[in-house]
Amino acid sequence: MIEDVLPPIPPLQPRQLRRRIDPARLGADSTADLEPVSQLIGQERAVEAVRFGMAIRRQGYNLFVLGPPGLGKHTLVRGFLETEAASAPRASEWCYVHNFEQPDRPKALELPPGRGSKLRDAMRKLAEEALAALTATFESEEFRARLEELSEQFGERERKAFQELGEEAQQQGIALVHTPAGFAFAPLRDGAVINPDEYEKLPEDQRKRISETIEQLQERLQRIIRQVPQWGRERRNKLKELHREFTTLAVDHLVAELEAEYADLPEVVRHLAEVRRDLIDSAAQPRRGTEGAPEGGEPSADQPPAWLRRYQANLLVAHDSRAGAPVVIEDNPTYQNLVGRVEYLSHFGALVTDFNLIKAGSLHEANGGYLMIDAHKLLMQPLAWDALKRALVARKIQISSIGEMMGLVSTVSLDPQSIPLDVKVVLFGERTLYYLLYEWDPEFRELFKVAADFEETVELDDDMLKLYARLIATVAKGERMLAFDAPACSILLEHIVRLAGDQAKLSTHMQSLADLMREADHLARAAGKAAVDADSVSAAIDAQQRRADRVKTRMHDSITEGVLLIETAGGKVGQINGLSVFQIGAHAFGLPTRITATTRLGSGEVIDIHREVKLSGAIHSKGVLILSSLLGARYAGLQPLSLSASLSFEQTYGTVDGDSASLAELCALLSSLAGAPIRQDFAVTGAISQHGEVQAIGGVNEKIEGFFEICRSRGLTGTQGVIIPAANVRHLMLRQDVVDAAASGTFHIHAVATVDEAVTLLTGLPAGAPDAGGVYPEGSFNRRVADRLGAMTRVRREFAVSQKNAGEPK
Amino acid sequence: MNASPTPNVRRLMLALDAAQCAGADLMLAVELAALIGAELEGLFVEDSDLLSLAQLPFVREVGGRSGQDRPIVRESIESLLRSRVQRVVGELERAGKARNVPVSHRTARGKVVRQALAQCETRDAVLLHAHGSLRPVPRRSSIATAAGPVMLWYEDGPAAAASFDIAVSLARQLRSDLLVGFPARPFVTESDVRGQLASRLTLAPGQVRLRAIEGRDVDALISAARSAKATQLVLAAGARLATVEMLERMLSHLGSGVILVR
Repeated sequence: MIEDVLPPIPPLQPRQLRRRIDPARLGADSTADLEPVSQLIGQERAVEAVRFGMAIRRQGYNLFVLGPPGLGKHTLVRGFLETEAASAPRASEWCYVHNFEQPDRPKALELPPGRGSKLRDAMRKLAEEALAALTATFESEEFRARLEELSEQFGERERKAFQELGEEAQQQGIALVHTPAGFAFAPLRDGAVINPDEYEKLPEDQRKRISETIEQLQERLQRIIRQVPQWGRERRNKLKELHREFTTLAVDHLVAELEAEYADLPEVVRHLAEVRRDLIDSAAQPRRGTEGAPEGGEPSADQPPAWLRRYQANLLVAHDSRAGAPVVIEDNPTYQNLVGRVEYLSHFGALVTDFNLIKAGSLHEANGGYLMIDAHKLLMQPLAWDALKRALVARKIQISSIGEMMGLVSTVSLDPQSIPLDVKVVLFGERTLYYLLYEWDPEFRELFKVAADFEETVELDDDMLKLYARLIATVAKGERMLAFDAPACSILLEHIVRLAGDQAKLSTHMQSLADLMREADHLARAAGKAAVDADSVSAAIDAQQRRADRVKTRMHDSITEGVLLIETAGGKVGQINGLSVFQIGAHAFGLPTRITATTRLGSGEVIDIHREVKLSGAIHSKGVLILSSLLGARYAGLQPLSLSASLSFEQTYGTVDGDSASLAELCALLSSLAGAPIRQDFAVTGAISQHGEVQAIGGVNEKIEGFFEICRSRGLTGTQGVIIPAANVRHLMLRQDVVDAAASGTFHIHAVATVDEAVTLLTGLPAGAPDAGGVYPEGSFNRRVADRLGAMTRVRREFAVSQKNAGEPK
Repeated sequence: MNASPTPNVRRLMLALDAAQCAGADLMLAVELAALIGAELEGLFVEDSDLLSLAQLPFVREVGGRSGQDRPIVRESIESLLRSRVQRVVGELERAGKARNVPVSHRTARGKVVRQALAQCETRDAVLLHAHGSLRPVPRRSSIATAAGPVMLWYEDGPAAAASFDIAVSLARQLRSDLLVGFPARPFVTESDVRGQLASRLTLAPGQVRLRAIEGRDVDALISAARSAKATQLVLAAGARLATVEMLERMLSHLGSGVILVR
């Protein structure tokens, strides 16, 4: 006799299956009538965090914007930053210039906005004009005349010195003769050098006199020769002075003009003074190669000669056309794209560089403003994360090559002077990434103190609906779409309610909303409509579904063709239709899966076949263990659980995870024990607790729709339906065709809160509640289970006694 | 512009002091020979004074750069001269081959100017390399660095026309102006001389200057050449100023080459 009969569990009402958005609640007939919205909808917490992070000018208060992709974080934050940055002061511009004292350490010059490009142009012009002026100067008649005069003057001195000595020697009867390596003096006779025999015949005193004369002449010759290098030095110095004099005349006024222009910038003026000094010193070197130019390179058509390149200014960052502080988005945050790099040119097989080949990184460009980076991309780039942290900690940007950073390259390169850094970095990433970094990277906590956590859903109320309608209007107008009428907006909003997975919420996944709008707009235009209507939106949703449906269709076909065994009618002991969700890319769909249970005499173990073959995830295994625990506690509290049970997901060959099948598994197991057939026209989903409560699961809509489609393809019988946890009712946002079937009574959705409610629906038997002694009423489902377990216990005990009596080991 | 005059010069000689010669000295002679289609003979003169003094017991050589003195040994001097000549001859042959100029060479002993003058009797023209002074001057490629004009000492005589043609060819080769110096005489003006030369003057008028030289001696010529910064001096071998002493004086004071034309 059944003492406690559960009340009947009616199917859910159609209105419970989908949240309707009444177009009238949107406040307009069309998005054309709505004002665009500029605020971040439902992201007050994130906005407050961003606003705080931007306002606080302290080290380490950089931002990390958390949330899954597609929420519109970048767009929204960028818009916000650009608005804020527009009213902020413009950032400085930076140039690298040659360091005349340490050529391998180019100097950084800070310039007010707009003046960097002017300095660059002015320095280029200076170099060009200096080249022209020097060329003209060194080719001038005046310079040549002075040069020749100088050469003549010094050449004449040497020539005269030797000539005079030669003539004096001649007068004394001595010849100055050229030898292969120098000179020699020898006595003359009849205009020719005396021969040795004649010399020997000369009187002793004459020979002595000749010898003394030659010795004196030789000493004078040596003195002259020793003076020659000194004359050479004098000549070179004079030559240098001459070049310096003409160079100064040629270039001094050019530099002076610039000095006057940049008189308010002492660093620039200092640099110009060095340019003047170097220009004069370099150009004042005597000519050896190009006319008027020191050695170091020939001029080409489009490039000044190498020695003039050092007078240029390499404009690293310019803010000419930008108002306010810069907002930079670094899409490819490699090490070099962040901190800049030194490029090289191949010159006769060797790689050469100078400060003109220093290239800015995004830190340079964002200096004085904001830099937005995707955290995942940043972390994927070797050394980039470390480089960013180092720059933020040191508050300066130091350009070093990757090879140098890793200690792999030790060639001579440039070590540019570092540039002070004042930037707010905004990282975007998923929550997992944020928490991992927070946990494992101590510097991260110090450098990214502000987290802007973006909501994935917002509460659905009238105000929010109106705001969302305006958001739709904003996107439509921003992308020049057709206007969306109110019913179309309703369908869009219902779609994002489904995305939110909760009838009381709206998804903030802006990308999905915008994509659907674009597609609906496309269809409406193709159909020649003046506005996007509800049909266009529905068609776009269906089309999205269809495009992603290939795998689902194939699996569906396998079921309808009988390859995958799913029954949708009749009853069977130990067999139930579970429901699974498959996630293929961004698309999820549900399908029924046959779950079977067998029971036999044993020692209390419930074998999950999938776990045994390691095809079970941890959550699923947990569900099975909960199931075992519930079974023992509920039916065998005072006796050993003497069964052995096996559970299997039939025809699944991949890993099974999640606990949403634990209700179905339990029902199948209990059916096997009770010998009560389970209705095959039902599918079941739900997780269970140890106390037999049915708990919420995910993907409820997809699961219901998956079973509905199978049933519909076989013909709806009017008895088919799905059992879901009562806690999931608020998550229902079912497709219209399912709602329609429910409304017509051809398909039913039942929400259950306990296992007992589920078995009652599945077996048609009352579950039965235990009395004070823990005994279930006669004829109830639970009584049948308890009786079967009791019988097993008895058999097992008898078996144990007979074994013992037979003396056999147990 | 008119075509270049083709001097009637078939045998050109380059006379060099064997102790001072170098490959760079050859270039102008080879180019000139190629231009006028002449064969070129190198004459390497071993200075008799040098060989004599090397036998004197007390004579020492003073290094031209170091100023250090050391004994002179005749054998080593002769060996040095031979190897130097050998090297320059090799360069002469290579240059001749490159410019398609038939070349030959020989060695003689004596004084280079005297030998050159003697050779003028059988050669059409002889080039004398200038030492500039009695010490070595930096050797340069004459063609690349020529800046001053070619100077012609023009006086009446059988070699006047040939020396003029040689000077014009040389000026063309060196891309320089031609300065024609002639002895100042009463009632002879520049236009008279220009008139005499008009038929042979194929250079642009602006490239030719004429200058009467007062004094009629070698020092006046030297002074004129030096003030004009002449790079080569061309004169007839039979000219009044073409004596051993005067030529030696020219070479030592001018710092330029001298070309004697038969």
